[in-house]
Amino acid sequence: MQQLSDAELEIMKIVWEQAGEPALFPVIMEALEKRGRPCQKNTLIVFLSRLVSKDFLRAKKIGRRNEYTALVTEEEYRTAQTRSFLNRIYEGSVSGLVVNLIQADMLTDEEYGELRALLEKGRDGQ
Amino acid sequence: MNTVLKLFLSASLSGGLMILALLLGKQLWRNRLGRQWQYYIWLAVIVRLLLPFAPKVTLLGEAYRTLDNALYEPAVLRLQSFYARRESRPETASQGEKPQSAPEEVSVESPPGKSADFSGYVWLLWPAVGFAVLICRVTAYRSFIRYVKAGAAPVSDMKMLDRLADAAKQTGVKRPVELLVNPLVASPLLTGFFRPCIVLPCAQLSEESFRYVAMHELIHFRRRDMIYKWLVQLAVCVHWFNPLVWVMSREITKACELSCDEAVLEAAGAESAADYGRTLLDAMAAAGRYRKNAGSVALGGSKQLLKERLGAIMNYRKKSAAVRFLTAVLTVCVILGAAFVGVYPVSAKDGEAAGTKAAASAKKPVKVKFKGISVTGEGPVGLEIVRTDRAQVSFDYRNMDSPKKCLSTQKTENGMMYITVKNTAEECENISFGDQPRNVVRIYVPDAEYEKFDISLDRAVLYMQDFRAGVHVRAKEGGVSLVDTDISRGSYVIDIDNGPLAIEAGRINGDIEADVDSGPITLTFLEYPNNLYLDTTGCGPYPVELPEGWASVCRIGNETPRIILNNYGPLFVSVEEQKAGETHRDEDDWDEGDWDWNWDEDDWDWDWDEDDWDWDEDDWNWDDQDKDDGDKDDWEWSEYEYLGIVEADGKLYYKGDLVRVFLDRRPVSDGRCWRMHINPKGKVNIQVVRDKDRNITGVEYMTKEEMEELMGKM
Repeated sequence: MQQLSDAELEIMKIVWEQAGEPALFPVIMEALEKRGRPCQKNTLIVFLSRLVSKDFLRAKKIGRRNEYTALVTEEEYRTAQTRSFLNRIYEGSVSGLVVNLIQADMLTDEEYGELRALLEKGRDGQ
Repeated sequence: MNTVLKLFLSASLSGGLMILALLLGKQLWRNRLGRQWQYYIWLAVIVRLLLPFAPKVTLLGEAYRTLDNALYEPAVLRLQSFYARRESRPETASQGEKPQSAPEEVSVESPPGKSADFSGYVWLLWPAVGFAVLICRVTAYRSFIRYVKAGAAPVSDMKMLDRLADAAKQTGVKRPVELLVNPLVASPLLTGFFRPCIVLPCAQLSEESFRYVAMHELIHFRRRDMIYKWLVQLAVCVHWFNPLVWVMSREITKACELSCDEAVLEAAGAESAADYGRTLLDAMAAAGRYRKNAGSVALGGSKQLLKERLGAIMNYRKKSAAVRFLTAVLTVCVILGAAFVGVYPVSAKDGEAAGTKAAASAKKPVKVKFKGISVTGEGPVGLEIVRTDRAQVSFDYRNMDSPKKCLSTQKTENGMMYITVKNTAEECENISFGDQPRNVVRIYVPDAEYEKFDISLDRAVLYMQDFRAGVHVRAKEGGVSLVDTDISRGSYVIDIDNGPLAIEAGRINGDIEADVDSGPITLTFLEYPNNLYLDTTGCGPYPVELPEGWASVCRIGNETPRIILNNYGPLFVSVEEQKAGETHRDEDDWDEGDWDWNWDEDDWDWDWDEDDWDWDEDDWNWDDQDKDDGDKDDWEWSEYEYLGIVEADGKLYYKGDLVRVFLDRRPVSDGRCWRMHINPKGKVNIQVVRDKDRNITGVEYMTKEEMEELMGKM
């Protein structure tokens, strides 16, 4: 799975937010503006076509407008990104990541508890 | 020469002329006229180079006829010549077959020579090299694009893309434009015919610089400069042999950038000239490694070009109305120039040749500045005189064996147009007209009304259509053919010393008077004449063949036109489609029973020496009618020796003079067989005198009346 640029990810998030529904061009335009990243129509078209060529989106032409459907779910993207992150930074070691998170005091107590519970339960659950 | 090649060769030549004109003109208008005009005016040349079609009258039409002949390689095979054929002896042939017309007699069809075959392949070099050049160009472009795309990363900066979109709006590009960065490209460039894609060497550009770069590339896209560039490439491939076309290609690349700069300044405003120039310099300084960006349009370029561009940018100002008007005028001039500099007029010429026949008399006469025509043909050459709607006389060399030795000139003097065709080649011996012309000079003569139309021939063979004039033909030696569907306008006075005359016409409205000293006359009516006065009493002493029922003086209808034929050779008059009911016999004329030719081949001792005309056995259209009566003539000439008539080598001499006609009304068993000998070269006509008992009493010269009576009967 290819990397996404910031702008591309922003657009993907908007599409994911549609929850399975195909996203229309003006919807995406509007949402970008709401997120504080307004852009020109043609700029968005360029980004969308890049996403299509990266196989993140499928454009379906209906009349004169395009409907964009996500081909990759947010979860899939996150997993892939995490994996790539792990591989790049921790050479695939999850414990290394967790140790780093704990040592660097990046977790709140609440998060720490959640994580613990997840670890104890998770294995059994599978 | 291959027609397509010819077409493009001439386009190359005329295109070359235009390139030279524009290059010269550039020195004048370089800084005065709009750069965009300077760029687009080349399109006229491109069109001329790639679409080699032109109006009828062109500058190069004439030049090409000359070139055509210069490139013609003489065939290796030489065939029996018209003159050589005249040596051949005629042999008896059977009656009933119609005589062949003269143009066929003088023509010998030639198979193409070996050298012609070879040159038939040489022209293939032209498309082969052109194709190779094209393939090279396309591969170079493709690999360049692959190289650019391979190392390119899309610019993800939304701000930058927005600025690009703004620039697109400003330059009038509606399509979304992709923006890539590839540190390997030398300068910003644009690819893609339909989906524009700008590739930058680096994304770290100031907002302003980026705007200019984007505008420049977007203008390239908006103007479809890629298509223009590829058209130029195509022209280079087709005209690879023309160095001027390569020069033009370079010139257009330069003009493209210069005009693009101008367009950017037009869109951005003249005040941004300095900034734009700086951007150009920066782009140049940041030049990368890959320089051969053929086929795409780039912001950068060579240093020299950069200098010129910077100069032009700094000099930029809006053009005044006067300059714009001047530009418009110049445009019209160049386009008209492109149209009239012309190309090889293939279709025009052929069309004309086919059209002249149908043109006939319905057309209005052409207006010309001369009132008379004088044509002189010298040497062994075929002259084909045809009508044209143009006002000029023009020549067309048709498969000359040695075109360099054939000279055709024309000059006007005292209101007369003098046309001379002189062939000094001696080997040029095979002359043929028709579909496969050989050694023929076709002369296009304006279809005007002439007071005088003289033709003088010496060994030349004439083949002509009728004109609105009384034509006078004087031939020392050579054949004359008046072959057309109609002789409706002109009248003819034909005087030939030695050579055949053939007239073939549907309707003959003009008078014809022919005097052929030594040669056959063939007169063919393509339809039965309703009105005619035909006098053939001056023909003979050779066989005279008239349509059935026609006397030596034939009067039909109102007795016009007057056709008077005189010759010292055989005469054939025939009607292609004889009307039914016209076949009755004229009782006054001789009866078949009166004459009984008992000659056969051995006895048929005409002496045909080289000065005689040529004919085939089929041309000789009579048969010996007593072939089957077994009455073989076995006389010896020796029986006349005591009269002073001596035979040697088949020739008869009387008192030392060569005998032309010898006649002995000699009795044979059935009492009707005469003996006759004819030699066209002879001088004296003699007859053996016999008394009532048919005993020889002496020899006397035949009087003119007697000759006429004799020949009239034949």
